[in-house]
Amino acid sequence: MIGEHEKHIKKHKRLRLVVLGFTLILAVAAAMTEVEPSKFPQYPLLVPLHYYSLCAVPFLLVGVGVGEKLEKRSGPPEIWAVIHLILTDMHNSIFPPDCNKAEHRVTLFKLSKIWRGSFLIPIERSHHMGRKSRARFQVYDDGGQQRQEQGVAGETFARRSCVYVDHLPDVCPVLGPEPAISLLQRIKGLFLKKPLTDADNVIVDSYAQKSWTARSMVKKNMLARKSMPRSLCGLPVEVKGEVWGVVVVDSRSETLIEQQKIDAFYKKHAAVMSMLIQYTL
Amino acid sequence: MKTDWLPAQEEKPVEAAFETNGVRFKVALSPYDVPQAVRSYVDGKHYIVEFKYLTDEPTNEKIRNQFTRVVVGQNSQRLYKIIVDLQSVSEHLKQDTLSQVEGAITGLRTGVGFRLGGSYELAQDVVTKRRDDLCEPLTQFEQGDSYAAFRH
Repeated sequence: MIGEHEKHIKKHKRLRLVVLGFTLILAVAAAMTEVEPSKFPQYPLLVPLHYYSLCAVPFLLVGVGVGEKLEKRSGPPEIWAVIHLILTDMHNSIFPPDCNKAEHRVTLFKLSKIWRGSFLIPIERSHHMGRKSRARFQVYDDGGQQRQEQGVAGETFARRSCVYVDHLPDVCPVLGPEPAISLLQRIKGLFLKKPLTDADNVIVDSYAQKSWTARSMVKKNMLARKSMPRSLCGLPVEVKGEVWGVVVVDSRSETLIEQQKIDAFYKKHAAVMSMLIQYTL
Repeated sequence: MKTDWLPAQEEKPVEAAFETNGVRFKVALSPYDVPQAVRSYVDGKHYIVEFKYLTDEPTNEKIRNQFTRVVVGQNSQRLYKIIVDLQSVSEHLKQDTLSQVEGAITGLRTGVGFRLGGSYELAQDVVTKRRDDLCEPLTQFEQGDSYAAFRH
């Protein structure tokens, strides 16, 4: 996952270049329409250029307009940088300063509607660690029945309230230290279904049920020896009275270090975050 | 005359423990649902109690009974205003008006879930705690010349 603020800065730069390019070509084309090729018989290329310019000017004008409109629509990229700072600040105020940033995270999920339905997709995360995420949780904002596999983010979205889950089973240590295996075995392992022991299955089932996560996702992470959070907290983000997304605080600690700190920070910053997001819409 | 916004006093967070399908978890009221401030004023023949939240949203007006209307958030159903028709109240202006306000909130609280129930409960607490301040516009209205004409 590239942070939304980085994505917006890149997008903004690209759009600006496109608009500049179009404006430059438009200026040249406009100048060409004024030139009378018959006065310069020594330059035969002027004839097609003159006529092409006449045809191109309206399209270029539309291009510049569309580019500027898109630039405005994407919103100022600085807003996403501020949102990133708020998330990082939240992380700093909740967790100890020397903690592992990949094991304790604050993530902003946005509700995105795609053809398959509505999903909560991570778009911004505190600090710079653990930003490769494909986690997405389906929500049913059309009044449909909520399913088990919606994660804490989906549960928070559905309840429109802050949700706290802790004492989740430890998924990683069950497998013990990773055995030394060759690259070929690793590649084979990607395609072969690895069996889990009964004890592992109990842990996977328990974790999936307690965190509203899909069993397959927990199993995949377990086999990949990827650590999973043991305590989670979901906080709704509202814009104009509608739930726009969710902030999820997750930690490898058995309990969220201090719930009061999360509540106090969010109470102070929820309105600012809401207002900033409103400017990006 | 509108009174200034009166900040809602710091309350203990509204929390509840839930258990569904053997999963135990805790749910707390979102900061967006907690009333931040309250104010009251008399507007013509109406007494209005208004609540302020972290963010604003479009609202809808609902009729509670013949003399009381409530304004709630279009999306969130949060309570934004209670409008009491002063023509409905008897000689005991303050007592009757405040009981209409409290009755309206109590009416809203029935049959709602944890989130709205908690939000309305906090709104009711604010009204109870700020009762004297909220009565101030009614006192001024009672003492004013318009009240005699209104009663007449």
